[in-house]
Order: sequence, then structure tokens, then C-alpha cells
Amino acid sequence: MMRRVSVRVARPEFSRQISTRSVTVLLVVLAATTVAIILTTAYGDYSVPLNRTVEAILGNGDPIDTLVIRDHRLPRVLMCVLVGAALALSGGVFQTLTRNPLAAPDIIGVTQGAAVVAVWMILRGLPEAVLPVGAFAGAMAALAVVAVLGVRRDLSMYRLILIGIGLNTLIGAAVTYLIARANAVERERLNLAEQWLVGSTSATTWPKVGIAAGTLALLTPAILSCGRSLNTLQLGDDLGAALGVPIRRLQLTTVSLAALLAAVAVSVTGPIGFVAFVSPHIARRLTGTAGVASMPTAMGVGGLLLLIADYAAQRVLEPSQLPVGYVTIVLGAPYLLYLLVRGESRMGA
Amino acid sequence: MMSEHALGVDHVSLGYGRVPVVKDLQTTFPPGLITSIVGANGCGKSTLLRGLARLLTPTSGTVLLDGKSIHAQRSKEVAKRLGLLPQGPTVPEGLTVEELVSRGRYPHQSFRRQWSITDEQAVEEALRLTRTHDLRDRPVDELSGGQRQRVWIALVLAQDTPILLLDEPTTFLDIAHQLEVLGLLRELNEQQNRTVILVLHDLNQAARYSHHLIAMREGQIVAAGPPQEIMTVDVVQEVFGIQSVIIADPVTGTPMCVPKPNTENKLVTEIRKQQV
Repeated sequence: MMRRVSVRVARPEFSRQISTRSVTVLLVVLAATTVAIILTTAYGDYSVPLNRTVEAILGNGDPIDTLVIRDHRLPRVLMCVLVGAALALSGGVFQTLTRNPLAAPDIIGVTQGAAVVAVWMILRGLPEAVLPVGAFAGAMAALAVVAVLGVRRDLSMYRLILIGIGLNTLIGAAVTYLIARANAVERERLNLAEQWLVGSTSATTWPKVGIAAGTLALLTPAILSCGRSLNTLQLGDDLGAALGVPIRRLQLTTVSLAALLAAVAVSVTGPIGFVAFVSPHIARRLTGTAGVASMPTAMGVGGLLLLIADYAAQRVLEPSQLPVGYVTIVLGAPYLLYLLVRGESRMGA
Repeated sequence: MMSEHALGVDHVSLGYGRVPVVKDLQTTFPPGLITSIVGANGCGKSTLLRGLARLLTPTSGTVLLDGKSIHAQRSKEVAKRLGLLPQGPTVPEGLTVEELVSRGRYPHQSFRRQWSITDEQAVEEALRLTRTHDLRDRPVDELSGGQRQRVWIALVLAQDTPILLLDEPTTFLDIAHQLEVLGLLRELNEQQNRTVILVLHDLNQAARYSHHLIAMREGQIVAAGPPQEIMTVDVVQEVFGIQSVIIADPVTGTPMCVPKPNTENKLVTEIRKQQV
């Protein structure tokens, strides 16, 4: 049963209807994420007691603690939370707009666009620090191609997706080509390229965390403020338009913002699979709502998932370390199959 | 009380791409009455409705709402006066009846005002009128066809517009639910004086439930007026290409069309028989 509370203020006029379940779930997820942040920062191959962890975070712990916690673990942990949240929000927007519960931002070509440039740069031996810039440029270029080919007077999500699929295939072939024709020098860097293609947080630095945090801080309110219109558009283009939703403007804005979020995420960590697709699902289940009200929870779930996956990636096969992308695939792929088998994913129904 | 809002079309042509479907149409929809648009498949009746609802921009001419072009007015302002129930709207998975109906309040809401007392009252009223109260916490995708259609109508009612447009609201419903939906529309019209404009397939239901009929053929209006005046053998012949007898509906007294057997085919069968 869904309980809803009406919140009304007379002056200045303000009113909302809030589902108590959504709010409770969101708070629980956020609390769990906070606990997970502290624990995964403290524990590892070199474990630090919690009180010393806090001191190290604040900058007045012992030097070794500070090195491990502040310079090494904390940025990586925060990156997981930020990228997970960004992917989840982006995925939620794509699933809402396409009315397809299986959609993810990959369909619009940003992931592959970033990948082809990143792989090229890695094989050429360009420095790690400029990788995100190149990957972001690649993602934007792919988005531009989709926009030029896909945006007509009437913006059809369907056409956008088909163009995205076509472009993905094409760029995927280009990536394969780059790898296949690698010369002897480049061959030694293939390992790095492959690791990037799976998605990894091991190369996290504070500036990258700053970029991810800044992007999220700017784009999240922008996307969530379109929430009511997105909810209305879920009822179909015709009914949405009849209710007064500026459909084309809304689609253009939210697709661009969601693609931008995904592009930044891919640029800093590589294409981490399944988080964008799985998190909105879990959030819809937990909150019991099909609407945009589940999106903040989806962001929390995405961050928590990626954090746990990254911790597992570092600890499960110790001392060898896996890129986190492998873990999300191992967790996400069965979930996708489970959804398909249970028939939960009625395409566009 | 509610409806002195006038809707009309002035030399409107509508089409998809370069194919004209509705050609140079001129008519008005009487305020406070039920108007049914009837005609054969592909005659442009749904296209006309889409044009009235601003889903299609006329290639020429204007759709007039309260004397002003509907395309020159702000979307939300139009959506406060004109509601549409299209064919086959999408049911988001797991959305409950009450949530769905609440979304009909969109044009009345703003960033700050998203659940005012008026919003709540309008949703309650819509649930009451459509008798969907008991279903309020049920997911819409689990309802039967008849229940679902009532819920969609509740959404359009929550929008609280003086003019309601409905595109074939009885399609895919069995006869009992068809009558239920049409009876509900009649009630809304009589009790609340809402203007109802609908596209209907069934000519006899249109004649029974509407005050005004618009009969279309090949994108043009063949006849428009009260069913008693325009439902004639000639009009039926012209619009549907069938021969018929018009009698008084034994229940309501409204005109009722009883088609004759298709004589052309009979002739062909006759000739074939002789040849054998």
C-alpha cells in the first residue's frame, strides 16, 4: 500500500504530494551509502581503524594513514558513488523517454564514441591525464552525429535509438580495427586499452572526482526539475502533448543532459556496464513508483552498487585486482536475463 | 455553467507529409453538446480530431478556440480548456490508478504548486464520476479493458476542461462496456454541461448518444446537424457506400440505420450460379 502525504504552504504558495515510501527508501539508501563509504575507505589490504580513518580524512591522522585514505582510497570511493549516481540518473531518463525499461545511455552512441578515441589515445601512448578529455570529445562527437541525423521537426525517440544502434556498430568496428592493426609497440599497450574498455576506477585522481562532482551538481537539479513533464510524457506523446507538455523541447533537453552525464561518467572511468540499466529498475521496485520520484533513489542505488562492486573487484581475487566493469557485468547480466525471463520488460507497453 | 468555450475550424486542411487527409474543412462544434464525428475508415475523422487537439498543425486554415488560433495560444492555456483522450495511450508499468489520474492535473500545476487543494478535489471528483474510487491503489496495467478506459476518462476529467475530445473511446470494449462509457459521457455532458466531441465507429451509437453529428467522407464533411435531420438513406449511402433503411430506434426514438444486404455481391453470386 502506498501512503501519500500532502504538503501545502499557503504563502508563498507551495504544494507537493510526497510518497512516504519513496522518502523512507531514499533515506535508507543514502544511509547505507554513507556507511559503505566509511567502511570501504577504512578497510582493504591495509585496514585502518574507523577513528583513525576519520582523522585521516580530516587531514590530521598519521602520514601513512593519510596517504592511503586521503590520496588513494577516498577519491576512488567517491568516484564510485558519483559515477554510479550519474549513470543511474542517465539510465532512468533514457528508460522514461523511450518508455523502454531496457534502455541505457549507451544506445545513443556516447559510450562507443568515447571508447574509440580513448583506445586510439592509449595505443598511441598518450599520457593518462589527457584520456578523459579525448574520451569526452569522442562522446560529444558521437552525440553530434546522432543529433544531426536524428533530430527532425518531430523528434522520434525511435529514430534516435536506431541511429544510435547503427552508429554503435560502426564505431565498435572501428575499435576492433584499431586493436587488430596494432603494431608491435602498440601491442604492449593493448592490455591498458582492454582494461579501459571494461571500465575501471583505479586511475582515479582528485581532479577527476571534482569534474564528476561538478557535473552531477549542475545536471541533477536540471534533470529533476523536468520530472513532472517526464512523468506526463510517460503516458504517450499524444496524451502528453494534449496535457500541454512541450514534448520536443523536453525530449531535446533531457536527452542532451542525460547523454552529457553519461559522457562525463565514461570519460573518467571508461564504460562501466549495467549500472545505468539496473539501478532505475531496483529503485522502481523499492519505491513502488513508476515515476520520476524514484530517480533520486536510483542515484543512491547506482552509487552504492558501484561502490560495492569496486570493493569486490579489489578484494575477491586478492592480490590480483579486477577492473570494476567485470564485476558489474557479472552482477548485471544475470539481472537482465532474470527480467527477461520474468517478462518484466514489456517493451514500451 | 461550464461550457461557453467555442471550438471550430476555418478552412482547415490537415495531412501527414504531403498527403492531404482533411481538405478545406469548415465547421463549428456546438458548445455544451455532444458531437460525434462519423465516417468510413480513412475518411479523416481521427485526423480532424488530432487537428482539433493541436497534435497536428494544419497545412492551411486555422483551428479556432474561443475565436483565436489554437496554435497561437500557449500549450498549457489550451490544455486547461481542451482535453483529449487519444487512442492507445501508454500505461507506465506499475503506475496506480490514483497516480495516473493525478497526472491529468499537469496543465494546472507549476514548479511551486504541484498538489493544491484544487488538484486533490479534481482528482477525487474524477474518481467519483467514473466510479473508479475502489480501484485507486491498483496498478493500471492490471485492470480489465473496461476499467482501464474509465480510468483514462478519469484522467481527462481531472484535467477539468470544458471541452473533451475522445478518439474512438469504445474500441476494443465489449458492448456492455461500450454502453457504460457512452452513458458516462452523456452524464458528464448533462450534469456538467461539458462539450464532448468524439470519433465513433458505430453509427447507431453515435445517433443515440449525440446531439450533433458530423459525417465525413474523403476528408470532407458530407452532412452536419442533429441526427434526426442528417441521418438519411442518402447520407448513409454517400458516407459508407451501403444501402439502408432508417427506422426509429425502438428504445430511444432516435434514427437507426439498418443496412440492407450487399446487393452487388448478391448479383455476382446470382450470375455465377447461372453460369454453373
